[in-house]
Amino acid sequence: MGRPGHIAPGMGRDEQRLERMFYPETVAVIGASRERGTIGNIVMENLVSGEYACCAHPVNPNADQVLGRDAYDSVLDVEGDVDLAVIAVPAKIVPTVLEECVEKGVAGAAVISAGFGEAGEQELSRRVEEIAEQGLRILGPNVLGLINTGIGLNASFASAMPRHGDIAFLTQSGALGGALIHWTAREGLGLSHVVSLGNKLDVDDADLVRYLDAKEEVEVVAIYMEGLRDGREFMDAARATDTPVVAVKAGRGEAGERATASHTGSLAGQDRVFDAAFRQSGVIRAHTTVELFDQAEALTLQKPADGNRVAVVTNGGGAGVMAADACEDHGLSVPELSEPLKERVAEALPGIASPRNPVDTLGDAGYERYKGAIRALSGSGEVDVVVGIHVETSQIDPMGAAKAMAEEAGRNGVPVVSCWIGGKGLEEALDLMRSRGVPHYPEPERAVSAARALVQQGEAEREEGAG
Amino acid sequence: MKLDEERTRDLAEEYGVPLPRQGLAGSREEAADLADRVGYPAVLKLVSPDLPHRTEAGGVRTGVETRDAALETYDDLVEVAEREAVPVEGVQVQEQVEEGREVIVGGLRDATFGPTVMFGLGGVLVEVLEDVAFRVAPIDAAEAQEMIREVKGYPVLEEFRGKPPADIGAAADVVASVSRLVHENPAVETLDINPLIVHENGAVAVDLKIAVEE
Repeated sequence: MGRPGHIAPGMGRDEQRLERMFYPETVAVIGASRERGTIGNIVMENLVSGEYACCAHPVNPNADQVLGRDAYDSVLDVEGDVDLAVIAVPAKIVPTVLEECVEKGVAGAAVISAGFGEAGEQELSRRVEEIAEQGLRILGPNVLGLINTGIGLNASFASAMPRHGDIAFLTQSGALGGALIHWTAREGLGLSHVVSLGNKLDVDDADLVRYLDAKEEVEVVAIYMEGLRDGREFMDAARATDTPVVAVKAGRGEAGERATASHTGSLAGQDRVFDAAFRQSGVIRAHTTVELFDQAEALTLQKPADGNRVAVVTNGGGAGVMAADACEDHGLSVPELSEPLKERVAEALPGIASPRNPVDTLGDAGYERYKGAIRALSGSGEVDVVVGIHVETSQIDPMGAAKAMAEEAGRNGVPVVSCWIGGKGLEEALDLMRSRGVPHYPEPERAVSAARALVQQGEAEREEGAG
Repeated sequence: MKLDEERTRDLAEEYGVPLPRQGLAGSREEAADLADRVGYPAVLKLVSPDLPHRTEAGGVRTGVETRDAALETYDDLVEVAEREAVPVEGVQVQEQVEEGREVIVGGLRDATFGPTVMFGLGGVLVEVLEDVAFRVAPIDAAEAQEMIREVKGYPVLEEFRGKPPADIGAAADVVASVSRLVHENPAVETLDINPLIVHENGAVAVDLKIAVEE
């Protein structure tokens, strides 16, 4: 597989180097190992056994072959150009190995090796930074590696390939990133890229937000972040990108800051300032990794909302109340509907149902009630996003609600996020939600948080348009 | 390092941070002239490098209502200095700022984002409640208004218990000015206005401190 015209004429040199890292023709695994279970072995295995049939060359002076491929003593001995080097050697010899990469003209190196700033080795960190200035892009150190699912490239020691999708996931923590690859697969979430950033001595969030903005397959960038080396650079990149950015920033309190300081060698900034900076640059802030992907998924499936007015449509009153509470927590409005609108909503409902917001369609609500209520709301100009809730009951087949939500989502520019409370009886309905691109969540609070992401993205885009 | 008073005032003036009208008098006549200029009631303060607890020593006189009172107060303050056996640099004559809503405005250099600006409600509870809002500097007055509305205690700035609403626009102008000041002056490490008194019309930075890099 080649690089189908990826190096475009207008690309800057740094962007070209990133492009070669993510679409490499040749990868060198420095520290490739024959010993099963070691990082140098897993990376090699991932590169030779995956669907990405590239030329992966092991570099290991103590081995003749690794996984059936001839090993080289040094990256300098590899024939032809090397686009990406994945480095898993002891920290002390990383600078020497990186200098050889510079000499070889390697475009980028992912340094998996740990034992730099996070372990108090400032001098080693400084040397890595100096080498990065000689034209080699360096990811890390202290990373999991990088994954590009679009071409099946797994240049990491993650044991599984994520499902292919349109969320680019950047993570400061390699271990958490690796675990979330499994979790996203189990949740049915698809990822376009996984990039572990580690100590961020060179390649950082801002570089990748800029780089990924040009990628058509990326609908949203989701970031797990503990700290930033240059906050303003990140703000500039986030402001400039058209791709929604959602970030969870860990290390909010003093104890968290201690943990992140020892973990990545970067100081977690003051939380309130991060909050403000995210808001000022249109970055949507998530507070947990579940929320991060809930919001990211909603942004890949639905259009941003034109305002913050939420209508809740539910066949269970309790779930509606919880959704309304969550709206308040997220700063979203659940407006009282106008009299004419209440009348139009009431036309779709039986006499004893409530046309007030949250709209209660009653336990046995099927297709007609959901359809009629959502359509009246989305066409009213009084509502910017609909949270559709269905609680499983013995009285009605959930497919009616599912079909109505699938048909009405996005009509009149009003996105729909859905919440489904129940068990196995919902599976067919959830399949329909998945196939029709309506985000679905098992709790009202999670659906509302996803709605908040659509509202904030809409605000960010309007601000961008105004500015 | 604390920036000296003159340079602090110059910076404030350059960026349009409103300070109380004031001046330093070297004689009783000068004090009376200054009091005429800043308006009555005025505040007179003994300025001496060796008097750390000036208020306790009787070196601050508020509510000076007339020119004659200003002349007398000047003499009183000189007596205080004699009694305390401290040298006199002069007597500061200042506009007495009317009561209003007390808020705090700060500038701070954040390790990650550089210059930032902070707004919060003043009073004794601010440090406990931490009811403050931040922005990365610089920001314009519209953004500053939004930031002011963000603090939980915002309703006390609106019409509150029979008091007319405070001049949010004037407070926002100060926040925006501070944000420009810290952004354009990299040597400024911290800036504190505590309190900024916000009136029905206008606002006055009663106490402004700036710390700069050594």
